[in-house]
Amino acid sequence: MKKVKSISSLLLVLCLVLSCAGCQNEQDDIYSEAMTKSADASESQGPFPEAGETGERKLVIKTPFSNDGTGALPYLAKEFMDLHPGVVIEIDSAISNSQILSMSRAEIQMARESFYSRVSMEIASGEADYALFDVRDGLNIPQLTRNGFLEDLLPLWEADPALSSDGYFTNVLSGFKVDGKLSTLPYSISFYDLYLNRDILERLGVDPETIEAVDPNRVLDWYERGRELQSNLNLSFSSGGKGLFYEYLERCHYIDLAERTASFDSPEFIEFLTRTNDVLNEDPDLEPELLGYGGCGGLLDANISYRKAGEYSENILAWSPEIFKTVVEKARPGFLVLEESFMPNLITMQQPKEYAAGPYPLLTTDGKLGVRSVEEFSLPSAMKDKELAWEFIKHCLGTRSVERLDFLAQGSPVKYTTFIPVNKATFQNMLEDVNQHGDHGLAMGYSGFDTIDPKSMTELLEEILDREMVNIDLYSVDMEEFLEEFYVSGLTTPEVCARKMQDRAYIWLHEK
Amino acid sequence: MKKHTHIYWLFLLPSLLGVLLFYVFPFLFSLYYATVDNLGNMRFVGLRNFAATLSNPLFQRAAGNTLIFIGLCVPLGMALALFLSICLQRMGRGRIPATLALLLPLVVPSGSIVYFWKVLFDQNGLLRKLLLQAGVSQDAVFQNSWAMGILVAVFLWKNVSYNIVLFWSGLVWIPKTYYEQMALEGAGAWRQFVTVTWVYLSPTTFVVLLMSIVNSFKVFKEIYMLFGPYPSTDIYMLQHYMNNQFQSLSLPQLCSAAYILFLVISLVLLVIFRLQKRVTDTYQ
Repeated sequence: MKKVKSISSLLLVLCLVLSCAGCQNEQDDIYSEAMTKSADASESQGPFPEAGETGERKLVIKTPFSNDGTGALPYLAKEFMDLHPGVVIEIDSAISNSQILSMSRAEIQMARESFYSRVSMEIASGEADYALFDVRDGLNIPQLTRNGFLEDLLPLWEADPALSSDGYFTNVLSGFKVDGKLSTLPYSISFYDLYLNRDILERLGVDPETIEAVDPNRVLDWYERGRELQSNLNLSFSSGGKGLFYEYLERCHYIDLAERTASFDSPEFIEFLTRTNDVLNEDPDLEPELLGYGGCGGLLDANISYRKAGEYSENILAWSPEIFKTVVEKARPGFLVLEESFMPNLITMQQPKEYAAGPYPLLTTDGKLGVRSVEEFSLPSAMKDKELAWEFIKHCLGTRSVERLDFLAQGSPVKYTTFIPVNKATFQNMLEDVNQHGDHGLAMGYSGFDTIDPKSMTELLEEILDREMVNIDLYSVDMEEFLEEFYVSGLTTPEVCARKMQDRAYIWLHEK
Repeated sequence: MKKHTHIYWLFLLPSLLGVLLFYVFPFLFSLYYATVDNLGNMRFVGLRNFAATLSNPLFQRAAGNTLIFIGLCVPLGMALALFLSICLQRMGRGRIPATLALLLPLVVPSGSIVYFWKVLFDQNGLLRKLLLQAGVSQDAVFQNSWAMGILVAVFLWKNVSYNIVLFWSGLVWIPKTYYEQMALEGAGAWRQFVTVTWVYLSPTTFVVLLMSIVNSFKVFKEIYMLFGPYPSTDIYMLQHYMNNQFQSLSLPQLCSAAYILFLVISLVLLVIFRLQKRVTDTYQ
């Protein structure tokens, strides 16, 4: 009996020890592996090695997607390594482009979540010895900044004589500050703009050439009057959705981050919900997968042309003949197209257009321009070799000549960026590049371009970017379920929807 | 007896080490986190995080909701469990199937049943659709105040069976002769309950009270699965607050909230223990 007791006790102890060991799950294994890797990483802090010097310094950049073949990061890294043979830059991505092709949406989502949870853990434990690229969608950058996990890059920017304020769209950078700290430094940015139906505007007596910028209420006024002239007029060409104004920008108007207040329960927002819900958003002749497909000014232009003259420029069909033809010919007339301001549509800003007008920068109701970073860097505070990371960031921000705007990839050349570079000279060179190479394919089907004047275009952009602005990414409170319940399912009234949104915003603001 | 003490300690050691390493040490260490400004600067700020947490209207709201939830769930759960366990005890035929049915929630993993709750109580769920079809207005159906009722129902479903087991074990220890004696003296069912059942169940009742309070904090998993990390402010609990602070890596805020909660729970438990002692002493 005594023996049995001893054996049972020993077994019990063994079980306890084993269950303690069993607490380590797969996530912990991944984490431990990452920790070991970080510990092994080079900690050299010596002088910055120039060309011909020996002594390796390593920079690891973590990013959710590898960008090989589509983004410029790997090529910028290679360029930097060629300039500094003593430097090794390793891009550690969760998913490579080749992997993406064979992965389901759920698998991509899982890999993405796993990447962000691992990075969050490493940042929180002070083990994140790497730079971050394009992580704003999965990491709460404002919160990480407030919690001191990310480096303030503003002092580095201000102290660096190589970065002259005149050479950059610096006003934009102020938009990316969180509590006075610049924890995200983009080398390219964007804002949203609208193409409008010139025909409708002119019939309403509005001169499209006098419009500088638009806000949702002004656009809704024109649309409501326009619908009296043309009863089947959709707000958004090819039915881009009723919630597009809210989703892309207008939410910033109803949230005050500084005061931690929201005004979604105000009569103004309830009216906004009511008006946007009353817009026409139907395209019965389009297949469901084509709804929202016509999100470019060229297609709107072609659609109006087709309806008025029975023909349109074939250039528009160059990218996707079947789909675009269907959209142009079958979509109902639309009043607007909302686009992110990338180079092709910026180019069209000063070009004459026959049927569409714009693109006009979209502002919030209180006149603020919404900007977002596109390709950007952040440095965790725990990173050891910040000097090297900063040198690389500077390299990415530096002026690029026309010859250095494209990288030779395996397939087609990869652009430095297709969005707005923060470097003014680079922006001008990109416009010059369009003039030299006639890269009109980019311009979404518009043909017969006049030569672009880089200087005046840069001035126009400066004028736009000098407006008061908000960083859209700072207002990322998730309201999708309420908007879907209201706009799509029709289950709630504007008042109930507004109340729910106010409730959610209250929590979101006070958890900060 | 004394010569075996070191052996007992030897056997307890792995468990004690585990508790020390994974509970006590992190708990003490989190006090350090609660007194720094952020994990980047690590500057000592004293009780500033505690003051900020206590003055945060969302924390106050979450604490209020948690209090309402406990205030509703604990007495309701206890009363229902006591009633059902007495019914079961007095039941003749059908006691076994009834017991099995009532104990079912104890063995069914709640995660597997949450889908059912979701179908029933979701924004577009069965219950709401039925109410809408019955002519109740959209405003009334979709108002957030219903949500607390749903949470109470989930809590009762999950925990009443556990309380039934505890009350049952208490009830079987009460000698039947007491009831027989009372019946002979002409006492009715209510009188018997007040003077015998309630008195002899008092130690069990304290255990049930204690466990109900503890369990009311453990229903978060189901709430989270039903309503996600951002429910309406009417059912936003302290666990949501702390869970979301953890997600956003706001560790100083999280740790200060955890210590405040720890102090409050400790105080409540202390009062309960004192009360239990006093009641037990009175009856003895």
